[in-house]
Amino acid sequence: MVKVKVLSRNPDHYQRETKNDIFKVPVRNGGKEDPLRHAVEYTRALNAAKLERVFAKPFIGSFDGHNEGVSVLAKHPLRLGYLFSGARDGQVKIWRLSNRKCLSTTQAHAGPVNGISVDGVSGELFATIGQDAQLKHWNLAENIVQDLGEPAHSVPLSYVPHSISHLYDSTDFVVSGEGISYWKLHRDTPVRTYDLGPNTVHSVRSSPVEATIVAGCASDRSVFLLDTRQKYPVHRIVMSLRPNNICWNPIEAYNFVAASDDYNLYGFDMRNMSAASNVYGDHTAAVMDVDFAPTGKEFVSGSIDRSVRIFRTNGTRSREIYTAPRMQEVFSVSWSQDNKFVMSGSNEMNIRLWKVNASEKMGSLRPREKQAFEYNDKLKKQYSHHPGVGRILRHRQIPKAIKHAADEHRVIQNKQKRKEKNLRANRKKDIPFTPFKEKVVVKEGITD
Amino acid sequence: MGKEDVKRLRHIKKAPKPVKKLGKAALTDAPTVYAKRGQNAVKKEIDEAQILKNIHGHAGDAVVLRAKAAEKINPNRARDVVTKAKLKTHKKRIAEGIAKTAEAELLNTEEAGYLKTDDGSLTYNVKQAEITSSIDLATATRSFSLDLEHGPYRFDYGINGRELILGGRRGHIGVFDWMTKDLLLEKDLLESVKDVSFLHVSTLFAAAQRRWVHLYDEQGIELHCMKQFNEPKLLQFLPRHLLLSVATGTGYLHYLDITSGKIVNSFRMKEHGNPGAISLNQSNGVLLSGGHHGQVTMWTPNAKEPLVSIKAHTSSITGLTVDHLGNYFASSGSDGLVKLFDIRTYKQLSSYKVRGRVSCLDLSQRHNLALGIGQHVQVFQHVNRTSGLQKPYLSHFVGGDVRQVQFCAHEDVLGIGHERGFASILVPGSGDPDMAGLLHNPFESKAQRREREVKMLLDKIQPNMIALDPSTINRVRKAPEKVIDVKPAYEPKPDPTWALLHRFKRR
Repeated sequence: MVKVKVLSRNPDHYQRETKNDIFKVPVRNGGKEDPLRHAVEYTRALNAAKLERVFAKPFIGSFDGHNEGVSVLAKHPLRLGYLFSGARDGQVKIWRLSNRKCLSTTQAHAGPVNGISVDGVSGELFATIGQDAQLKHWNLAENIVQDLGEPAHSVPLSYVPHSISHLYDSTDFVVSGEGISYWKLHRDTPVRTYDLGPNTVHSVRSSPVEATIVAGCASDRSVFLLDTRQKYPVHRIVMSLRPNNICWNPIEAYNFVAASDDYNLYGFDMRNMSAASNVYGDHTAAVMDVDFAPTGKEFVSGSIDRSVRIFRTNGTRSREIYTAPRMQEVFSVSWSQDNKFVMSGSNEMNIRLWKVNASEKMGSLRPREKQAFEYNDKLKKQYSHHPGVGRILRHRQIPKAIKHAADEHRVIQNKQKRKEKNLRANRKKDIPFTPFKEKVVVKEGITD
Repeated sequence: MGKEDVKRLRHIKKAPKPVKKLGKAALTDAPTVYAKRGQNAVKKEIDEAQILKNIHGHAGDAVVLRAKAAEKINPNRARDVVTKAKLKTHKKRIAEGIAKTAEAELLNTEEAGYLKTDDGSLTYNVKQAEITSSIDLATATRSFSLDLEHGPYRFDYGINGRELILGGRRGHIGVFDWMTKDLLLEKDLLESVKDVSFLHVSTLFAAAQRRWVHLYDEQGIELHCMKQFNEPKLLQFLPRHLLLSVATGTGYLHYLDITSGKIVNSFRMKEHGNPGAISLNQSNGVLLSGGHHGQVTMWTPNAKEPLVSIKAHTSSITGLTVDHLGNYFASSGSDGLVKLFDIRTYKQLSSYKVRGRVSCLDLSQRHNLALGIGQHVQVFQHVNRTSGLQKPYLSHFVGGDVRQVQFCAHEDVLGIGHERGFASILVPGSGDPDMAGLLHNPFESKAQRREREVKMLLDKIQPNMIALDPSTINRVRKAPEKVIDVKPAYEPKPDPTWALLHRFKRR
């Protein structure tokens, strides 16, 4: 007699019972690894990289309607779906982002709108400043009317204001033009003014974390740091070229990025301003505006070279470049507070809406879809340093003008490096190595 | 490899001695191996101790492999605190994963088969009739035999192991579901058929006919005729790479990519041409072929010359089969010997002298070796152990000259193609009970088959990734050491006057 067991499988355990069930798939638990898993994983990573490039269609749409170049873009701190834009002809438009419709158009100023800032306490009031030396407060009801009509309050100023910024979670705000002035609501005169010299302060931004800290850029290539509780400015640095705009990192309270005229962006730590903490270079013309993501991990910059670039905060080169054939110089950029969209306002009267992740699928994803995307993201991340996969991930189509300009700049930089290297090799005295970050800050300190 | 096998092997210091049978004690020394890399032939004799290490190391056991990989991660070598913390959590996650993998083995529902005699007598004497009478009816139907007249039959089980294709030498093709005995196709090709093979789905198959290779549909419609393959003899389908390799009687080896229809590469096999047997190493996609001079050669579509050539037998090789984990292979030759070799060290593990001529052999997933000897089939159990090739496990008398034996994957079934038809016998304990359903699912429905086809195409491994070690794609390539020629600071110019001195020297 024999004791026998032969491997036999009951088909009922392996096949589904009804059409409405899901299919059963026998799984090999534990046990053996697939010996070809390395090659399979590499193939999947390669496919994921290729698919990402195939589906990279970041441009969603444009907001048509302005009659002049868009100079200012502003976000509503409490309402997610609204965008404020100010143009060079003094018009202020309020847009709804979800259907890209213009909710309201107001002739706010007689000249270009220089700044818009929304009150973060109630969200029902916003302030605009214009080249006509006016500071106007407007009411913003729950249902926005077609034309806001007359401002709630209008203050004539003795100078041309260039920038306005509300303090975090406060109705107070700072206006800059000739120096920086600190205002409270319903007042006709500023509470305090800071005299920063004869140069125009063309940009001022208040920190979203440290509510009383304010940073500003002046025409003499300097960056000012102020504390609104104090009477005098806290700190000042002078850079080699003029910084056009500043944005504070919403998560790291002490860091901010300055968009400079010398085609770079510089990250600074306000506690130590003797050198830049980071240099972000990829633009080929002056960078006009910068805005941070709400996560603080990335930021977007717009420049005169007709491109919008997205950088990682801890990187040095851009992660993404967005261009359009009809997009001219970009003067203002904005990163939406749901961390999905980037808006750019440019010289040809258009505001464009882009995706932050170019190949992201918008809308709600089904669970398996989401799982597949997450797996692909992880594969791409894991194999990003592999030459075959990395090459595909890094590839972007760059317009000819930018490419030629970048090549030219590279030639110039290489020549400078080569000259310095030769000097160092042939001089008797040792030339000290100064990293570029330190060369950025030319002077430090308030007194000249 | 079970854990007890591994433990046993650890106690063995030397390589197992070959068992001497009647006849010449031919080739008991370690065969010298000529590993060719392109043009240069290097003679290698590998250290014995590596065998154990290799078997243990490449066990394929998930737990062992992952534990080894985790050992290599050393957080203390990190340069900064952040990376160090990241490596520590990474290592911890791997350890958690290993623990879960080991626990998850409980979830496997099926158990492997076995055969035990009550009174301790030899299992060799147990006949199929006795086995089938001791099991349930449904499983007993898996043992059957078909009496067909159209020449010696070659067959293929396909990826799924559900459908079976038979090809008789006189042109008889039959495709049927061998579990339910459901006939899907029967066709007379009016031409001699040397070999048949399913492609990635059972609805497509290739037949190596008298002059060319033909591709057919499930309805028997001829889809393609590959006239580039003259006189095809043997077909082998590479399922993960979706390549069909054809060994021809004119001495060529072709690789055909079935997704694009293009020939990836063709090689002149020269002295290794017209092989008696070919076999696929499933763990890396390398094709082994046994030639007429007793050489086992390993081919990839990337190299014109074989990567490795092992002199296994003194005469022509009749049968060749590779372990599905890619650790060892078995070969049989006209000299009547069956030998086991380790794939990585190319060292002979054991040999067995057979009475009669072995015409074919096959290894099962649980290391059972089936030999086709004349009109009999002998099965040996657990050949990966030292006691493996000593006495047979089962024997079966087939009514005709055995031409091909093949185990069905994940089943305890051995298919035998012989001169008078086809037979299927039960060999308890030869199939791996756990199957990876996404790659191999005999119970798949039409929708599942379609999904599997798409996934296979997406995960298709390109032919240029076939290498002896499949993990090379993930290795970090070290930058080659730059050898800088240091020029001497001052090179003295030869003095011209003194250079002429040699003319004045006396000879």
